[in-house]
Amino acid sequence: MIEVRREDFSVDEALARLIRGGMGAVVVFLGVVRNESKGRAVERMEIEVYEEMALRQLEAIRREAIERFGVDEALIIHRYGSLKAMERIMMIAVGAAHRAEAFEACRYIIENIKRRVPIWKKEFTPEGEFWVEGEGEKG
Amino acid sequence: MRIKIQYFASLRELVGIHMEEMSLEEGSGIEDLMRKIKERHRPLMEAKRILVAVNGEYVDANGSLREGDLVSLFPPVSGG
Repeated sequence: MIEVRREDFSVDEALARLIRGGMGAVVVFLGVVRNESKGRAVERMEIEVYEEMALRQLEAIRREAIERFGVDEALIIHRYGSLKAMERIMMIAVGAAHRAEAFEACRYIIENIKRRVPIWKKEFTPEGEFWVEGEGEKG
Repeated sequence: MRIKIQYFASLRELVGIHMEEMSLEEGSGIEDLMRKIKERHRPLMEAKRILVAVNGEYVDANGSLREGDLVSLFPPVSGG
């Protein structure tokens, strides 16, 4: 249920892996490449990952979300490499009996990815290349 | 003891390499390593914040090191 990959992914295929009996709510979050940042046009983005550590952190976050909010399952896919504006960067899907815990667990996962998972974005604009300032609190 | 160090993202660009090895005296910790690294790679002084992981797990600045450890240095993460 955890994947770090270069290629794009199919939301339908991912959901088919996630959904099972007992789930009454599935919350899906997609992160996409915005075409502007701080007033600059973004043509593409390079995403770098420390894969071994990222996989471990993502798995830990998935387990925490399931335990903390009592959801049935959570799936996380994050891409790396060169991505153009409007391409999909990542997907989170959480399945639960009811919507409240599915939304909460999904929020928990994305916030923790932004804090802990060793992935970095660099934006390519007509004015030059810029690393995205991280929100990471760990360390 | 020999330690492997890998750099990611903006830190990799500041240092100009992805990976290197360093010898440290027995009993050295993260603080000793960081001092040595900053002496060797002056541009790292520009980095606002450096996060440290040993063998794929986050560690504090006062953490210890062992022969063969893989130390990863990177800026605050920005995935998602």
